Amino acid sequence: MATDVKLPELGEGVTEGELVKWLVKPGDSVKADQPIAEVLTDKATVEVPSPVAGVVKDLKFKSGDVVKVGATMITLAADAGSAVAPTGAKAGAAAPTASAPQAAAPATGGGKVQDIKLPELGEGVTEGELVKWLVKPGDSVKADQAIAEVLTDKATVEVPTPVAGVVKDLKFKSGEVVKVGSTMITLEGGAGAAAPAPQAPAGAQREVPASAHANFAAAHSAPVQAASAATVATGGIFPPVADSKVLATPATRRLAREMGVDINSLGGSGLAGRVTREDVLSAKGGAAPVSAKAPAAPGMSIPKPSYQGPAGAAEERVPLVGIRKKIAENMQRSKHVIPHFTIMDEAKVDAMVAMRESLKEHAEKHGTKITYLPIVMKALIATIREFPMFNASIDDAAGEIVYKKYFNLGFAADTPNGLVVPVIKNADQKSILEISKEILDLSKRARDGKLKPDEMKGATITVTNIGSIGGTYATPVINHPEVAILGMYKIDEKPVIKDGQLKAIKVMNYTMTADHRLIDGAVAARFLAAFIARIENPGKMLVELI
Amino acid sequence: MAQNFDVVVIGAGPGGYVAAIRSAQLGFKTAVVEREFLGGVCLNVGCIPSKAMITATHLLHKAQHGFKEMGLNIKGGIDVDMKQLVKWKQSVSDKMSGGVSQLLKGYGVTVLKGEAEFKTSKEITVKSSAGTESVQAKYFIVATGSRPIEIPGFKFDEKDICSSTGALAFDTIPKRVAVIGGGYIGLEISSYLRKLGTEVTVIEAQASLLAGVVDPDCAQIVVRKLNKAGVNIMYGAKAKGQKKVKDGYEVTVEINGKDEVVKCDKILVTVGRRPNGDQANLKAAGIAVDERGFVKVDAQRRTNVQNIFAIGDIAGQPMLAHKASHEGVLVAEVIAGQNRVYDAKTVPAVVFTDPEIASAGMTEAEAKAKGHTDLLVSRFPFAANGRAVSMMETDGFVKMIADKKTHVLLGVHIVGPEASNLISEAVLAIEMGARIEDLALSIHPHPTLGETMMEAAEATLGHAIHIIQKPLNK
Repeated sequence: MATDVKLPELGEGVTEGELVKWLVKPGDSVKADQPIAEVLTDKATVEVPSPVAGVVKDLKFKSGDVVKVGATMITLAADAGSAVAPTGAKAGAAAPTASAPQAAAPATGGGKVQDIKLPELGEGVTEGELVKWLVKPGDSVKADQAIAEVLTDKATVEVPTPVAGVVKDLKFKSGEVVKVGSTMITLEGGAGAAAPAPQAPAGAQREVPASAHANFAAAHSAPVQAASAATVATGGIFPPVADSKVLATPATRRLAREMGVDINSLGGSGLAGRVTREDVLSAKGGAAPVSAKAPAAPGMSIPKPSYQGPAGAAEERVPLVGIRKKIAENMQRSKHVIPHFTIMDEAKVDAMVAMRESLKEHAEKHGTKITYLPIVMKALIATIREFPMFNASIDDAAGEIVYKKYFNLGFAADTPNGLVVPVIKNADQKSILEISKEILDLSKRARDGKLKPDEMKGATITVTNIGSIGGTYATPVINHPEVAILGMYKIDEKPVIKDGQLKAIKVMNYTMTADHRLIDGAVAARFLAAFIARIENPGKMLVELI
Repeated sequence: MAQNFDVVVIGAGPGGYVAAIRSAQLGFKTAVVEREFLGGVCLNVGCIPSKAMITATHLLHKAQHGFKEMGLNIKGGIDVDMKQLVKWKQSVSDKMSGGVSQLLKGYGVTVLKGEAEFKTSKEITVKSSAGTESVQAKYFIVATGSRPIEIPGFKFDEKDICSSTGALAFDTIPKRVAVIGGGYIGLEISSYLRKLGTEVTVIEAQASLLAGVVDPDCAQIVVRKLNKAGVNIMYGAKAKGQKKVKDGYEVTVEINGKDEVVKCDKILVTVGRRPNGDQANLKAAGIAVDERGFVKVDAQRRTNVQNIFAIGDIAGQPMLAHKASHEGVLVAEVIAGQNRVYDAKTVPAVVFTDPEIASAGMTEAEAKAKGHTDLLVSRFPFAANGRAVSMMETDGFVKMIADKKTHVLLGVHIVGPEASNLISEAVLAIEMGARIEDLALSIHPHPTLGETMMEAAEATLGHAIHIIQKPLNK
């Protein structure tokens, strides 16, 4: 007879604890009330006793693991000799051979009709908004020809067709959100193609939000409301999943929706592949926004308070979608995870201005122009070499600080569609002229909405420059999972008294917003002072250039 | 001066009044506009009154056909006082409608009597005999329902040529009734009229009754019983027209290319219902309506106009009261900012014929179409259930369909006594993603009809106790 010993309630509102260490090991005999483990909860370390006596058979967690209240910690056998049945949890885990009942049979290569699906568009990108079609039914397309523009994450991407054919059917309208893997168009192979695609394959239905209607229609014979009710699934609203292949109870489906977890993406651990409440909860934990690897992963539990205004004609409601939605999520995630603080200072920039003036002509000869941004970037890199924690990330899931030995500098670009952050990769290995060219190119494409997702990923630190617009100081929001953001502002003239003479000098304000978990105030102050020293003396910076 | 509300619901049927109550529960200043009667078609001229008639005639039939065998003798026979029966039926409706009125009052919902018409997306007018008033709201919920479809040549007068509304109000027992349309409304009324002694002829255009509405095996049991009761059924028959003659009506029916005449006193037309998309001046608010009259809605039942929602029959199939009520709650919660969408796996359907038919989930054909290539299918007959035998109601069976690989329950179709009540267990099981073992291993009380659910589940596994099973699906 085996007994599961579970983590008991450890205090009001405490739902989990971190396993500090085991006080027993497999094979040990334990008495009732004997402590078996130390668990760190909230701020106290607690000894967890075993409610019954027995022989330790199995430890279910490792030190450092987070254990939920109610989760089985160990299994106790009645005595060392008894053959103990595996725990329910294990049996359950073994049973589901429920490999997704039937992965919607893709159109076979040999068939006449091919479904063209939205491909993977980048790490962590699960969907995109259809901006416009580049083809129409009846068009012949070649392999690799662009068929649609899709807005994803922060960039508009052209989606190519992997095969040639004649466009038969467009499955979405402009403005609709298309999930990666869902069929965008169907192509007919060649002339005289016979069998037209039957109805949308089962797999496609899962993606079409109106599937619930399709289900009704099928179930009740009067197919009155065809799939015309294209859902405007906006904001954090997931489309219905009852008709998808996912097996989950109504309460679990609702929980997933409320937590912002896409239940369709979860593998169910329950019998017959059910997605359980625990699966949703752990997906929430696993996809936590703090993983350095998947900074943009959806799954942040963002509160969704409603807004009830005075209404009437004084207000207008529009869906929060596209880039604005993404920015809203990213900003909220960053402010939620990172304790921000900002330090500000002023730099005398006469020397830097003079340097830039002297280089203008040279730059023009090389077909570009020089702004202050690449110079600031070089000063930033040189300063980071002194203070490497500014070029780091915190991997909360792993409990580690990740120091990066490469310098990918993001810069915040103001575009008609909203804030976008293109990245200069390996900026330390590029000259000021090369960086200038790259900034001009990326900025233009950002404004045109033509950046590729990769060009906006992987920044190690970001610079924001609102000098051209106005403002003296700001407190920019860190681009999570980075840990700092440098702000630069407009160059102004300021009167100073030097050698008894009133003189005008040029000054520029800088701010450093940092992640207080990693960077102390004094360190940030030293960093900013060291950075400003380089700005004020560009020569110093140049001699440091590698 | 216009009245102002947070939420105004247009229509007080089972979708509308539920939406109004839930809105009020959530703290909104709510009004509901109703032109006819609280509770809508369902409470007044649909579900509730028809069930009252069905219950009464069911008892009558049992007294006439079962009592003697049970040793119960009624001296002098049973006399039907049709006027009293209709009065009682009306009292049931009135009681329910009054209950709705009490609930709305209790929750502080303003009831505006009259006909609503949109002026803009933020304003409606409500016309009544007392005049016209203007009502403004932040949100509107359109729950204007549906009405019976009329066919050419059979204009409703609700006395002789009737929809279900007129048929439910017959205060004498008609001698001969022609029922055009063998769908569930036509057959429910046919069943109880026959029990009252009416000669019934069902004129159905298709080759079978309840075609596409219920599992064909289930429909067959009902058809058999209708035949046994003496209902005349014409298949592949098209009603072309009618004329009044001295002793009633003659309905011309085209069947196999030839015309036949059906003589009757009353004509009942039950060929379906159409959504009221052409009412309430939806256009003025910019609400998109499809060519059939359904308002287009998304998964939150929001129309193309941001602050306007639509629920119930007007928002699409199936046109069932319980679906409307579910949507009413859903929409109120969406307005309150909750992250809700219409996410039901199944909407149960019930037909109150004799015996009743109820279904939830997929039919075999639908399951196959959805990619469940291997199925477990079972049938457990009510004849093998102790309670059904003691009730003298042994016609029918419980049919279960499960995925062979995962044993997940996909569909349940019941034809038999209390199918309407039994189906709820199936709905819960399907929504919960239950496996057939879950039903088979849950202890069901004895002796009840509910045991048939457990045994049907066991039958899918090949080991129902109270039938002799050959290996199934092997």
